[in-house]
Amino acid sequence: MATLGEGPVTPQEEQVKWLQEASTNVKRNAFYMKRAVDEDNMREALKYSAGLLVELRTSLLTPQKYFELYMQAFDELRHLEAFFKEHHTKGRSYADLYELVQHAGSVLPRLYLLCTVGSCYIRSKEAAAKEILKDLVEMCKGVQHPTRGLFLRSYLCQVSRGLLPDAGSEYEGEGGDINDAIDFLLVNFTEMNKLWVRMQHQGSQRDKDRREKERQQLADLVGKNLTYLSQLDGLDFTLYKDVVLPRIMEQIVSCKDDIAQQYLMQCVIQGFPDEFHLGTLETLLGACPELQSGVKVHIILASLLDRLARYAQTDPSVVDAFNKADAFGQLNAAASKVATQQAEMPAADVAAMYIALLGFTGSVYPDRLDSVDQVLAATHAALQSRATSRDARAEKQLVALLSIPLDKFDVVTVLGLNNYPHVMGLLAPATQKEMAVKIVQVILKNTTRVTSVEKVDMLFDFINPLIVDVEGTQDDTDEEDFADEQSLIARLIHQFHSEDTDVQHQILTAAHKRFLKGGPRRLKHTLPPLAFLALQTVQRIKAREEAGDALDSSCKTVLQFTHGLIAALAAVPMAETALQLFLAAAYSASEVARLELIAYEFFEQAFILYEEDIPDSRSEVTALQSIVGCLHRCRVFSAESRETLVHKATGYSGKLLKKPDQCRAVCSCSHLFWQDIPEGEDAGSSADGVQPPVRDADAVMVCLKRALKIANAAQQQSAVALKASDTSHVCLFVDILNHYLYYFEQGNTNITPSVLQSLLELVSNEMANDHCKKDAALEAFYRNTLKHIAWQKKREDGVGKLYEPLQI
Amino acid sequence: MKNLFGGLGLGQGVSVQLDFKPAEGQAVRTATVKAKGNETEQLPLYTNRDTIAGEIKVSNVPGKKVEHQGVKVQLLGVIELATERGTPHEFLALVRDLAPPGEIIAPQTFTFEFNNVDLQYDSYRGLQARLRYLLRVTVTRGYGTTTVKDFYFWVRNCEAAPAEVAGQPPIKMEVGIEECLHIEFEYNKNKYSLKDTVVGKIYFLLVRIKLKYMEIEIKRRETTGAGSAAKNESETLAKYEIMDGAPVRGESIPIRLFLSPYDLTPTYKNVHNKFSVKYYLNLVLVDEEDRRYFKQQEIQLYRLDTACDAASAPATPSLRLGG
Repeated sequence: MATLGEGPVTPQEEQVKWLQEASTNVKRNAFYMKRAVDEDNMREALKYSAGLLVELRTSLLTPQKYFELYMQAFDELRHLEAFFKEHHTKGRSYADLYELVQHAGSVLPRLYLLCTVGSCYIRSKEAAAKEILKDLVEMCKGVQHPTRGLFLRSYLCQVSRGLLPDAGSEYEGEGGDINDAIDFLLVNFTEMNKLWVRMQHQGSQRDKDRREKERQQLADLVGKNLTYLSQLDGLDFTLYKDVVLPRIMEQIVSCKDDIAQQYLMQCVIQGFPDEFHLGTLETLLGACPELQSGVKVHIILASLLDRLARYAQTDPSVVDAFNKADAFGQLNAAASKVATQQAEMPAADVAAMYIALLGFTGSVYPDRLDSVDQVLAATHAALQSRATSRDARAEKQLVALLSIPLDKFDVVTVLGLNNYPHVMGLLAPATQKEMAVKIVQVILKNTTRVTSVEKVDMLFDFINPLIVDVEGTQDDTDEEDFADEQSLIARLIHQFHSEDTDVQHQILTAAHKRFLKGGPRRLKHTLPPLAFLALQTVQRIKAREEAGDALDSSCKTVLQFTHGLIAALAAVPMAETALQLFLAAAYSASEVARLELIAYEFFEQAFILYEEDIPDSRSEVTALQSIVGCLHRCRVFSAESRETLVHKATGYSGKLLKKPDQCRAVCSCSHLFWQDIPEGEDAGSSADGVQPPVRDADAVMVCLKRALKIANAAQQQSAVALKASDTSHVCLFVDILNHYLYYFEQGNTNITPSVLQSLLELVSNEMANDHCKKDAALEAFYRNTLKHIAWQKKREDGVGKLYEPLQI
Repeated sequence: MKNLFGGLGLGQGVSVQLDFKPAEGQAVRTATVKAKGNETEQLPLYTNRDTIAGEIKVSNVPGKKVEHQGVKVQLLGVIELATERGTPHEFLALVRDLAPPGEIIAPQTFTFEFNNVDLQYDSYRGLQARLRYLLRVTVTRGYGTTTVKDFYFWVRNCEAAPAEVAGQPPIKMEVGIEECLHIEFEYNKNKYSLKDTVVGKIYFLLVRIKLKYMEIEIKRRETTGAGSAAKNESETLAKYEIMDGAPVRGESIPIRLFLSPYDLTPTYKNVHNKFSVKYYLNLVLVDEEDRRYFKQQEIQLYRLDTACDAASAPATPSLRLGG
């Protein structure tokens, strides 16, 4: 067919050329055939139709190109078919034609013609459909060439479509019954599959890839039989179970071909109804372990499970049916069997298989954790012998596997399953860590609460790689990732929550113990949230104590625990954070637990830290502000202890480096002498270990005056430094003015309108300075202050009166 | 040539015409017989014990009377063999005198009839042997002017169908080449009528060669002579592909070969001690290197009773699968 001497051509070009040549011949013969049809010459028509069909004998074309040619021939044969019908109406029997076409000497054209006549023959009902079908499907054995045979049988399948003696079909009855229809399709299927499989073993090893590709292209021809089978109206479950499926499976298993098994199993699973699958699980699953080792059984199982799972969701009664059939047990057993029998199956695929099973379990039995555990056990058993830790793909699958129950069930409960840690243990350390992150994330996402010491301990076992450095692993996470991980843990801590504060205390202790093993790098992330949780617990204990519950853990013990915890943090060292925590603890001890000694101790620790470990002046300012703020609100202290603490704090404020800092700190300290009176409380009241609020007007005045002095000093300092543009001291004045106003409003009798008035003038003079006018922030601050005064003046109540004498 | 001369008359020629007339009201049947090349000819058809009757018209050239020593018609059965060219063997010779010596003044018609003729052999045209029947009309005249004209007719004899089972055991055989190819084949009968269908199966027991296709040939073998002088000549009458591609072990390929489209005759055994005609089915397997593997198997052919033989009658109303 190929002409020589045209130089090298690529295989594609060759294909195109061959197809063209064949196609031309088909067209030419078709032309003569149609002419013969017009002339009503049967002999010639048959001759030329055979002539065009001979082109299909080519072995040169790839399946794709062959398909094009086939379609062309297919179309032409429709003319011939019409001609047969015409002859039939003129009185020629189909029996006669059926014989006549068999006189063709060449087998492939003969069989195409036979199928064509055969379909007309059945349609005419002159013979029983089953007889013709049986004959056709048998005669087609004459073509043993895979591609040609597949297309021929596909043609048979296509022309006989709708002519099968299916239940309810017009060809039923004398033409046969559903059994004949099934038989026909099954035989055709079997034969086609044999041909398809045979392709694999032809030609050289070199062409294997190409051949497999070609086979994939032909897969649907084979699968069509199964599709038609599934479309038979008469196919009921009994027939399916007793006849169809066993024969299909027999063929699938016995063909021992990877591609075919893979494709056909999928076909069966996708092609037939769910309830059929449910009833035949045993057969379907029984076949799985028998498949070739190259077959991706997990994909097959996955699609089966997927279908079943979706089926279960359609109707609750289905789940009962599942239970009745022990679907889960069967599936699990099948998976194990596959894993044991196919020793070469990659670990990743095994894992994927179990993922599917687990997914199925999760959606069908949302409340059956024991099933999950069983699956995990099976996974562990299957994967133990396969080295998963060096197989990145397997690892990935395992992580996915372990994540499934986390999403579907309560995380902590899942973790409590016997086999969960076993499976997790299969992972490489790095992956275990990844998994740990996942677990934490899921807990956070679902805001699952971890409610007992045991559970916390267990959880820590799982996320151990995040909590401590695991030996023998190179921790290559960078600082940022590490911080992310640890902040996850920090968030996790807040999920530890037991209604019972005793238990909560135990949880705290347990967590603390664990965290201490993590080293300073982690402690700075993990301890603060733990401390806050502890303080929160103190609150809850207090509430319960007041309610009169008998408790093992008192506020005191928890606070003591907190103390130790913060001390550990201070040793990290994380002085600033620790200081803040001490203050928070002190506040809690004072205002919640009302334990003066402990509160004092916390302040003491905070002061020590302030003195020893605060590295720079800026931090000092912040720390000091915090100390003052906290101390301001603490009311548990007796006058004496308070005196000491306040004294210390004011002392610190004078020792700050920068004048503005000093000034502001002194202002702040003034508040230490002027505590707020909570609403509904008298100035003189003291109850339950709470001291009355301190209100020392003189001391406040001393502070404010000192502040003014410092501000003046600052002004001079900037003058000396020739920093004319420096407005910071003016800002201080406005600040101080605000403090004055505050105390004025608060009713501090030392502050009279005249004192204020002079201060106002002082400030307004300073503000007249050009530089000040250019400082927008300062300008706004000042303006707002004035506005406030103006506003207050307008008030009708006592405050308005108070302000009245002031002139702006 | 004689006719030609006769026809031209050369002064005193006669022309002879012969019409086969049906005896007792039955139609004259005809047979379409292959002649040289692709041509066919139509010949009157008779069978054993038929009566052969007709009319012979002897005409003179108008206005010229012809004297003769008698007119006769002979019925001859002749076997011609290629090996004995020019000496046909007459195995049957009957004669009817139509007219005593006399004159033909005007065209004259003679009727004749051979009753119940023993036509035991079929007409046959092969490569080496021919068996022919003819009517020879002779108008005897003086030396060199005798007019002889031959009119051929065809004879077919039918057999009753053989007893169903016992008479036709299937042909079954296992053949092969060691470690290479083993097949088992089966033809449903060993005796087929000419309109029959050969139904069978090829079962592949072992295939180690790459086959390309498989076909069945119908072969005819003529044997002439006997003993050491026997001569065989074979001819392939048909090729019928039954398989395309390479089968694997365990495949079975169906055979259904309709015999009717082919120009076959019954098997003839030792026709008048002169020749035999035998038929064979030759199963040929061709591999990818075009090597041929074959197995030849004789089958007996016979002609079924005329009633069934008539082409117009459908064999059975049911599906004609030939089984």
